[in-house]
Amino acid sequence: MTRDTIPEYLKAADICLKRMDFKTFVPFPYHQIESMCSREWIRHLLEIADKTQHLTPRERHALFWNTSACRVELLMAMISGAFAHASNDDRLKLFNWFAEALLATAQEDPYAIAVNKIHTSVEVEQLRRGLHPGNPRIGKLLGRLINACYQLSYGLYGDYTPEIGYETYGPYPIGKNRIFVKRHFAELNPQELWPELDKGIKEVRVLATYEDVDLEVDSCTHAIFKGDVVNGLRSYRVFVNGKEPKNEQQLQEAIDHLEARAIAQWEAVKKLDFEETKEKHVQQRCYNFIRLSKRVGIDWCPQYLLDSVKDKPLPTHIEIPEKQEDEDAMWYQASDPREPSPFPKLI
Amino acid sequence: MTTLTGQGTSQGTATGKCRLVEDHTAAFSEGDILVTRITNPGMVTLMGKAAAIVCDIGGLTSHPSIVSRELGIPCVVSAKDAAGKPATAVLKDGMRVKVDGEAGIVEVLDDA
Repeated sequence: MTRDTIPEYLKAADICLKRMDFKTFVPFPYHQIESMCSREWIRHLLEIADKTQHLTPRERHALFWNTSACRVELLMAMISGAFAHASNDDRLKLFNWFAEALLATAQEDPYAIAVNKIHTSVEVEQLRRGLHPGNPRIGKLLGRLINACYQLSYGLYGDYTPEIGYETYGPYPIGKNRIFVKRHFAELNPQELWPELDKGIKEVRVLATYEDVDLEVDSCTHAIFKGDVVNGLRSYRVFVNGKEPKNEQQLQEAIDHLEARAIAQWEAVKKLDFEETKEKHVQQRCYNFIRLSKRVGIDWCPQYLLDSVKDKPLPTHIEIPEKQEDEDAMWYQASDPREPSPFPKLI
Repeated sequence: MTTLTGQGTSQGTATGKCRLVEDHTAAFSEGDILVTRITNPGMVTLMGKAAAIVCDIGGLTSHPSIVSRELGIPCVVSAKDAAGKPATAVLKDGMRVKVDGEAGIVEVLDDA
């Protein structure tokens, strides 16, 4: 029963939530924008969950952008359910829907208390074939590539859902103090979200082995490396739109292109006014479910969701506690689908 | 000697000149120390050149922390002086500092 795994999920959620600084979220405070559309968001998720019941958990998982996207949306769904004062039955129904997908595919640590692993040992061996020798110069280039992809993802998907564009799988131990890591930037050209985008680089994968480096990945996609990933790089392989750059010059060209796009995308984000920013936020949240929505023929960003934030100021009914431990307790309670909401109702 | 303390979120030490940055148009040379309230995507190229990143706010999983670890450069977030003033209020362009991303310390070595 997925309900039996709620304590494990809460442990992962607690670790992740305590590491986050909610004061840094932009452009809107989390509790304001998310509570504003919470009732409609739960309605949208319940419709998706109902219409995808015929899919196997693995099929559902495959229609997320990556495993972290599934985990982040689980946590945010529980919190949104608390904002919306949804029934415990509905929150548990959604918990079950997400949890089944994670339990089927990330069996070692489904909620990412510490790792994000979905590949079998055979798959890891296949991924490791053809890796090139690494060195600090390449390590630095990979860092710039990953940073460029990460910053572009942030600009495309916002501060709340950058995991759509950014995923780190691992660590897969491969002996002798070495680990294998796969980074995947699955969609760097979301035409539905930003129709004016050029048709540039769409997907980037970075495969790497490191020595004397540890990795922890939490339930909100945050990769925490300990050790030196530049000097500790032992082998690597990069794919841009499915093809390997032929040499370092082509890799540098990809970096330059992505950095320029990240800057241009951020300028586009900054130009949005208040109403446009709220609308874009809703679209970005919906984008995590676009493939699921299209699979079952429902509107990936329904008008009722957009209307929930339109022509209204941000709500101020929720006060974040001043003491950190009280704030932590509030988010923890909100994350638990069995508990009553810690928030006042939005009138 | 002025010292700021915060949370060290990416290991290593680096010494260089501070550059207070608000966007991608800031003057910035390879090896400078990027100092800002919190990084944003517009600073992507500057981050690639930085020897270290220092921010006023943030935590272990904030954006500057994550990318600093990927870039292999030290990072200190929520950096403040003894009076509680944030990094951008204390550090000035051209100041030479040493950043310790393990200990979470930023030492001013000399003023601009």
